[in-house]
Amino acid sequence: MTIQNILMKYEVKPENLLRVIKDVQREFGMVDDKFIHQIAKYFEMKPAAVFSAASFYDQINTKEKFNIVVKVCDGANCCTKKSAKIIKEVERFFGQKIGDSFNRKVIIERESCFGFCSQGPIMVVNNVMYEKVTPEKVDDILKGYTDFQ
Amino acid sequence: MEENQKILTKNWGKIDTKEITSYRKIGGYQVLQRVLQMKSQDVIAEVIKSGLKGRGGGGFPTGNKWEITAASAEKEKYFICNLDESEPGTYKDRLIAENDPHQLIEGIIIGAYAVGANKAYIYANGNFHLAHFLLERAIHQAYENNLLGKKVMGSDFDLELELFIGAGAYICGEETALINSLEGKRGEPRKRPPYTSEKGLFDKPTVVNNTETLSSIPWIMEHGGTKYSQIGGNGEVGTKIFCVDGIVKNPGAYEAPMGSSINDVVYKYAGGIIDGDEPWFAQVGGSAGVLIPFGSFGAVPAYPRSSYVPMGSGAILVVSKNQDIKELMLSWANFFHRESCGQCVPCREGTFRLKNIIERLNEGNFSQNDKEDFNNLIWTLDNTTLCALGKFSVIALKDVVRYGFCDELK
Amino acid sequence: MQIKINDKIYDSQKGETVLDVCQRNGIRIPTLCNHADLLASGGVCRLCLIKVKDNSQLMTSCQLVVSDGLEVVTEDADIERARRINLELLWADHAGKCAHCLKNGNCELQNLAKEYKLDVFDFVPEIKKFDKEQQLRALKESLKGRITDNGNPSISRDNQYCVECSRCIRICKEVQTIEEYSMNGRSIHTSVGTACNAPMDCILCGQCANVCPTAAITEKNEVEKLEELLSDRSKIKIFQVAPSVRFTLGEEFGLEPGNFVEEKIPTALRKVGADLVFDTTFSADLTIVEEAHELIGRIEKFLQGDETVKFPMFTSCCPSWVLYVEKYWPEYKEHLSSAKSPQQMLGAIIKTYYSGSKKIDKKNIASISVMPCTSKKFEAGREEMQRNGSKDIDLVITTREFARFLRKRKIDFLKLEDQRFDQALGAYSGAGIIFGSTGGVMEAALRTAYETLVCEDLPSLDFKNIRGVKGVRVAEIVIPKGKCNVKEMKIKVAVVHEIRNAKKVLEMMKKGECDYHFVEVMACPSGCLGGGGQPVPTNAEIRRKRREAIYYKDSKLPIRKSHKNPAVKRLYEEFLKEPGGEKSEELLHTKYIDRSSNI
Repeated sequence: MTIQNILMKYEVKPENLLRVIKDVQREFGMVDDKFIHQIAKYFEMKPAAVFSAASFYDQINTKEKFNIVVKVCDGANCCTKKSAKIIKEVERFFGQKIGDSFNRKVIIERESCFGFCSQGPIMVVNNVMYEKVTPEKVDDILKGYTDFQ
Repeated sequence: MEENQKILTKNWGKIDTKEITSYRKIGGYQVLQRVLQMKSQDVIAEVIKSGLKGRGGGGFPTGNKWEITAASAEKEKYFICNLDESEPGTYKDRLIAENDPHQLIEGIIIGAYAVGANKAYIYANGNFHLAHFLLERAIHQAYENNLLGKKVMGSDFDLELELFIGAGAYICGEETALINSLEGKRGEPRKRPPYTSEKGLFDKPTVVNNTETLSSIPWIMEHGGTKYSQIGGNGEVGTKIFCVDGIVKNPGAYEAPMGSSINDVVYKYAGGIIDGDEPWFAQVGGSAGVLIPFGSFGAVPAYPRSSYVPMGSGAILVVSKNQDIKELMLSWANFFHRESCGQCVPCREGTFRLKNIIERLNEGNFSQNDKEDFNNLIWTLDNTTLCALGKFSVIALKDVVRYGFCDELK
Repeated sequence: MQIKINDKIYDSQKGETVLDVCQRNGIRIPTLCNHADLLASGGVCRLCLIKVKDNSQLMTSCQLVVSDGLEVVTEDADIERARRINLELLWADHAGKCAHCLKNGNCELQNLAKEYKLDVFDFVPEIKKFDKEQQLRALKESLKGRITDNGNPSISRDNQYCVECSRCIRICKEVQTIEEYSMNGRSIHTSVGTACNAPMDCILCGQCANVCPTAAITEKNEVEKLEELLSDRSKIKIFQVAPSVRFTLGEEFGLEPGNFVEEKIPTALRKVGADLVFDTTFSADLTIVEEAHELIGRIEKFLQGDETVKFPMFTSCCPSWVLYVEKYWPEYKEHLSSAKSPQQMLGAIIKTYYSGSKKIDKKNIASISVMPCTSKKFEAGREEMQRNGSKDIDLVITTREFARFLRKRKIDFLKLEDQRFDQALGAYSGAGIIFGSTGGVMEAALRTAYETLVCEDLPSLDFKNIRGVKGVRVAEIVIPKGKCNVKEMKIKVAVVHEIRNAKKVLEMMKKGECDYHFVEVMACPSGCLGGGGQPVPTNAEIRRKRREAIYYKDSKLPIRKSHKNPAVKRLYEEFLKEPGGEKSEELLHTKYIDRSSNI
């Protein structure tokens, strides 16, 4: 789908802005400069206003695209189920710290709460959710993604 | 009071959530038909009679909220169902949407009718993919069945309902931030007054209700406010879904009457404590919730913020004696630091510095200076932030200090 | 309405905030996000906290609207503690950065830190306590999200100094309607920036730099470039100084706004190495002669029935305004007067007429201007302002940079003896001097246009109804038959400052509702005297003082009409021949570009 196809789906109404941004994110993996300007033009808004809104949300990526995005839940519930150890395992697997984006291929993020606490700890890799993750399982899960690297 | 009265979860597992016919077969939308023949003020009066309070944690009486917006002379009004549920440890609203989407939609239609709104939104958390699918489908079927759209069920009432999916921001659960987000802006809280009942979505009078609140409405209208008000105890009425987690045998979501104590929920519903483990304390109401030491589990969660156990979102996390408290403190601090909207100085900078201090605490580099700063930050977050997030961010940390759970902070 | 502050009674008006009342009465309340020129912020800096009497809750005085019987307390232990901690939180971000900062000594955050005696950076652990890995992490953390922007000729940004007060966002949106800035990101990564953090692409008016409390947004600092030019022995250094600078520069050296320091400026410049000091006020007179001639030409054509004449004609001396038309309303670019701005006219005259008459190779001239304006830096770099690859103006420095340079050179500005500008291109009239204020160009043009058309002296030189600070000021001038026996007519003119007001006029034009003949637009509040390169702080009161000084000066001058300026007359006799003539067209007029695709 092209950006035009996405835009044409929506009327020019304020409540459609975030919807368009989300669709663009889903389709292209990020909402970059070019898209921001196209969206702004369509909604007759200033690009700054569109970027300002887009950059506010966790699920919108306005910075750079990563091949592997690992999100580990760090909510209090998952924390009591040793999510800190899982984070350490993921860090060890990729050899980089949580939050570091220098490698530009992989990013490890703390996530707030996915709302699946009874199945915790939760880890999400490239939008696939893994439940009841243990430190031992981390390697097996992540091995399935190393091709993306 | 009936122990096992189920209101919110009564249909869970019994209906096909993908088909409206399944919900209608068990009597769904019949009460709506009746409501649409009532005067809107009578609907509101019934809800006021029920004593139902906002289940998002605010605890504001739902009927009164509706009454204020209904009284506005403004023609255009909006009705919003808050399904942004992102308080850590809480997932009751997601379950409601996944297990009984039509009961929720029926509640929304009744609410919109009562306040005179012709446009309603469900603002859903961006992570709830199954709920999105089911709600989208349910809304579509409701339109097809003339439960939404022009002249709902042959009445003079028109209602459009749209699903709006958030993009990941805890603060959007706050109603003014949610409204900003819907309007395509940053999800930053607005200054109040003006209140949303006067100037909400697109500056029009707006009601924002929690999902659990709205799901209780069809039952109330079917059985009457009086009957609802007789459920519960200890000054609170109705039923409530508690999300119980931690060292309990059966973690999960349970509907219990209001007025149940922590012990009631943990032992009667969640199967008690895992063998061989011992609770240290429970956190009630999510990460913005208070800590209750094990010895006080007989206490009853209630809505007023001043109560000993404020209800909050109704999540109960039972924490083991073996838990490293510093790790948990870091989780809380990280959470609020990440979710601060960044608008005001104490919250943006304060939650960040607090996180750094707790990181040092975890690394064993906690200095005397850090301890002073810790107390100062707790105070400034508690007293000077723009919205309530600052206050929420230090509730648990204050309790850690109060109960002496962390040696370095004694 | 009366309210009680700290047990004393004060008058207040409905709708005012407690902060307004306090500021008016000299009750000290710190704030970083509030600014007199702007609408209230969302209450984000949390420094102006106060308490309502007998209520322990802290509230922001910038949001608390007065009500009958309101009693507030502005000082107590809690208030002090809250202000202190929140200030410390902001201050912590600036650890060790002051020494190299452009705003050192004139930074609102630094001043508050001094006021609250913050000497240690409490929230930042001393670096020596860190191990290697921690140090690296701290470094990464502080570099992460740092955004600098030097991609335009006028304004520099460095968000490591930013305190997220949102003043720049608000002035850009509320006053200039450009909306170049927004609040981006979330949590500690919240930062003020442009869309996608791209280089700025605005009208470069510099108002954001005027309101910025720290050095996050500043004029592009070219003091070093100035020093370089001055130390180049092969060059003759020729300066020009804009009319408004002589009314504002004193503020940088502690004088009250509106002090007239003209006579010190040539002295200072000669002391630092200027060979010649000319006056932009002279070329302001020249601009008027050319622009009035153009206006008369358009009117005459129109009277002869030429329907293609573009009305209204816009003034073109404000480069931000020109840029605004080129970027956002290119369909109206032909409405802009083709006359160059005074800076560029003088630049062209220096490198043609003056260099020719003195037999100097123009390559050996460094032409430097001192301007109230950041946008002039951009104007000097425009392609149309160059001749055979050489710029007419080699360097533009703002009032603030000039003052910074003088301080750096340790020049005791106020103690300098009085001197005059070099009179060859330095004599001026009152019409030139009022260029510094909104309405000044219009008034000056009317003085000349009227007398040229009617061939009689104006009965009164003061067009009082186009003075002032109303956003759009309109007047009708009756042109009588007079000695030249022109057709009697009424000229309708409008004077506009700030882009939000200019936008209104353009929108009227779009709807076909605009019947003005001549419109003056200045992008900055109150015109050049409130320019983006002028001393800070600025507010309506400061600008009023500057404005009054300008009109006072005009009223006291012996010559108050541009066409009577003897130096201008001589220039026409010796070189240009006539207004709008061949030489003038070549040197003093320009063309405009459609830049709408850029945005």
